[in-house]
Amino acid sequence: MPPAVPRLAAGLVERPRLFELLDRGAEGPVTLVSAPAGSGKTMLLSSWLGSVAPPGPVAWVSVGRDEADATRFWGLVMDELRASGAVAQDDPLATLAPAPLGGQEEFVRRLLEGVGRMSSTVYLILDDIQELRSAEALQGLERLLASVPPRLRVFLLSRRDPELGLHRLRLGGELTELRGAELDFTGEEAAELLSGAGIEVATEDVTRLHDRTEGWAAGLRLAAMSMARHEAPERFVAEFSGSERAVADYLLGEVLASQRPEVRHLLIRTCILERVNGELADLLTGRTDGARLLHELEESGALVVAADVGRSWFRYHQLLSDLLRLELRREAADEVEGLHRLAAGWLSEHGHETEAVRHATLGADPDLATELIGRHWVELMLDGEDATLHSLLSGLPAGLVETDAEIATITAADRLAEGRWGEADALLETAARTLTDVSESRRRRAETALAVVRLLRARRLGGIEDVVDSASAALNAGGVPSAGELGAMATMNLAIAESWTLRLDDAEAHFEEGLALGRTLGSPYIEFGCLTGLGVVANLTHRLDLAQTLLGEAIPIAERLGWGSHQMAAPAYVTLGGIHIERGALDEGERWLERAGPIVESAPEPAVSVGLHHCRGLLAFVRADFPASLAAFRDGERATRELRAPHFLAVVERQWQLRAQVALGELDAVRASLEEAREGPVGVLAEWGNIEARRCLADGDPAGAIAAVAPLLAGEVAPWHPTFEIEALLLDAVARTEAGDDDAVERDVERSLELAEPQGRMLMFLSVPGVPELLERHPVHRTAHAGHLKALLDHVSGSEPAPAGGAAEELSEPLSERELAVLRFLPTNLSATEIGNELFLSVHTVKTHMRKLYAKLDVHSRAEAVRRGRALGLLAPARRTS
Amino acid sequence: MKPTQYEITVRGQLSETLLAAFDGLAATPEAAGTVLRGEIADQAALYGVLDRIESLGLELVDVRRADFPTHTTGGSPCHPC
Repeated sequence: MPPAVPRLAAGLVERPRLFELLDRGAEGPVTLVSAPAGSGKTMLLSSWLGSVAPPGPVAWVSVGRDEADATRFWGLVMDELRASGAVAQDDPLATLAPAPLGGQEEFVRRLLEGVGRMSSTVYLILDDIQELRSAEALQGLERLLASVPPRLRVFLLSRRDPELGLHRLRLGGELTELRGAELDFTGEEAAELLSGAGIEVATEDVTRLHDRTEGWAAGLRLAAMSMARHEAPERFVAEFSGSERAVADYLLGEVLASQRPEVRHLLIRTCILERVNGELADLLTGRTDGARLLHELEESGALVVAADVGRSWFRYHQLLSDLLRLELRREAADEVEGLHRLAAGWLSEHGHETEAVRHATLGADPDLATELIGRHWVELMLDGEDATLHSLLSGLPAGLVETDAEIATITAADRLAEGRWGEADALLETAARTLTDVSESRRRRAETALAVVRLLRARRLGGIEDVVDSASAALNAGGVPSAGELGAMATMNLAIAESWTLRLDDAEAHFEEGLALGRTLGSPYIEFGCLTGLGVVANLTHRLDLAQTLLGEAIPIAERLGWGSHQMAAPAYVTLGGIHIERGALDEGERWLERAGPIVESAPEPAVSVGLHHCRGLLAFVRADFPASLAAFRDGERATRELRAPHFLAVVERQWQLRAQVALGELDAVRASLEEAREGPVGVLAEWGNIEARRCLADGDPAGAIAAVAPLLAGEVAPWHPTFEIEALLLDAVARTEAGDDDAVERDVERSLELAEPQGRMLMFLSVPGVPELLERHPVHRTAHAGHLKALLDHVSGSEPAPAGGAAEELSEPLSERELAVLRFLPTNLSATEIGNELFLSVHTVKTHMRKLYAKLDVHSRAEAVRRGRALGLLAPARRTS
Repeated sequence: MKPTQYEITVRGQLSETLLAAFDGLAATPEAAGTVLRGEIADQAALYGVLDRIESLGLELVDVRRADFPTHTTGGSPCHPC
């Protein structure tokens, strides 16, 4: 945990001329402090922030060494912004997080919006920005700098000029710059620094020192540290001035040489660490005074700084640690690996796995490194630290990937994340071949990992059918395959594969299991993925209310974290859009499809693409835009070809194209296609009869239509989805209207309403020509489905149900299915007893439901309940009077 | 690219300890400072050396390819007075 603002070292010099420059910088959006190592950038900023009465909340971000993960960088920025107190608790920024696995445009946009809402001016200090290596993070930062909101002041501290499009700001006069020349100490400042450190020397010695160091801050500080211990400081100045040695080399050497032996010992043996605490220092030195010595060092000068507020972790100044490493190599080269191994052991025991792996690798302990990577790689991926994982893997001995199945598997995951499919496949083959060589203790984990990575691969590239069996065998072999992130990831991906291959019961059980694991682990990625998966399965198993509730729970998780435009959100949008379209809420459905569109286009996952095209086709169809509909279903069919194995949706897309062609009057073409299809391998499907019936009706042949749907209606063939039984009934009814068989028509319509009402299905009623007239004629007093009939009539007369998606969120307690059913009768003039008859409930039960739903809706009368129900989208809006 | 001879000059003389940071390069004290000469495998390796110079707080005075038939890039840098 880095400190809010680095602590100030003793003997600090106030530098008013630089403070003025910073004051001026703080009036504009961006200030760049760009100067070499040891120029005193950090110290300048922290002393300035300490000298002015805190101008506003300060978020100080110290960029870690070689930071390659955008997610971790932005995560740190968010942590510091929140810790600064600048973010109100109920503000979206309070939960905003960069999404793992790419796609951070939305994050940056939300961050900018959030900062725009802040009530006070925030100072964001980005220290050591030269260490930021992630191209994605740099891009995001560049975008942020290009449009800094008025309430934000950014200070960039860097050893070299960062590539962040600063020239544009410079041209616009919006960039304040402090460079090496400004940061160099003047003669007066040097004198002040020395006297502040309690060093009394003659003015000409100060001048000589200043000349020799050329005002370099670190040089002056190092000189002061040495002189403070020197019995004759002026002699030190004379020797230093007379030396030909490089300034940093000379002074660091002097400072190090002047340390007590135990301090020197500690510094040299702990310099292998990124950061050190007392316990670790004791472990590496074999002594017990680590914590005390580190505190002393921190207090004595700028070379050792506390890395956390509680001052338990410390960092060495880069100049010092580089020199110490050279000293270590010179003095005790044979001990270096042992020190790394000691550090790796301690760090892994204390939950610092990433650092532990680095030290295990440097300590030539590949077993420990491999074990730690095997245990934590999924966690790294879920945290968006794929670049870190990549660097850990590349640190392993080169041959390991050929012989260790687990490492080969994890490396394959890394290559998949980079889009290097060929390499990934080769690695997966290696893994499969070497799996039996993995030691017994790691075998189970390696198998799980292999199954997960194969599933991940298949999700991107198709071929799920080929891997789902082996994966489920591997994962189910011993109950929950593996605890922690790997287990959760395995369970979720298996469930996704199962839902793709329509093993919906298994899928649902695994999504539930994954959801529980994700919640235990606190991983919103898993939680969101499993909730979405459950929603998709509920939709496929005809429980649309449940699907809507689940997706209504999932989507806010993504939005709260700012992941609404992330690839993983697309399936939720497409599914929800499809449900709205099925239920006749076309505009609302269209809005969800529009949200999914750009995501799917930028990162196409084949199955999601198919779904999106399909829903677009349905939407255009019910809006009678048949050319667009035909085109969308064609795109849908094309997208199924991206899947390696033929997918059942390909046939569905084909069939919808024929429906659109019928509507367009291309009857001959449809006839030919039908003949061809019915002779093919999928010719037995019941739905071909429906299309044939549509064609017959368009061709003025009602008898042909009746004959075409007869097998389905007689139960001789089963539709794959209940909506097609509704279609068959409606086609039959339209055909029989022409024949004047009114009783049969009424029976058909009544049965179709019966099938449609429980889920509020409307799509087929809106997509079979001639149905609105049938509904108008259907006797309201005799129907058992007055509520749905009224909703349908409202719809065809031009009004749409209000969006139902938001309803579940707005009610503190959502309505139960029964309560919803009762609610749907409230707009009619049926009494409670009559409603009871319709729903096969006692009048008492109906009244109980009414009382409960009034309470949930916070209303006191039937009329109010109807109004509120409409406002919430639970009921269709009132019928428009023309 | 193939390995190339470079001459890199940094300001001041370097201690044995610091010279260890430039394994494989021969150091010669000259008027301009310390000249590090040797074969550097490629551009990545060259930037690695330059990074080390930066992080050790040394001042870079001159970099040149020894086989390049050009004049000196920076002329003689001024020596500290």
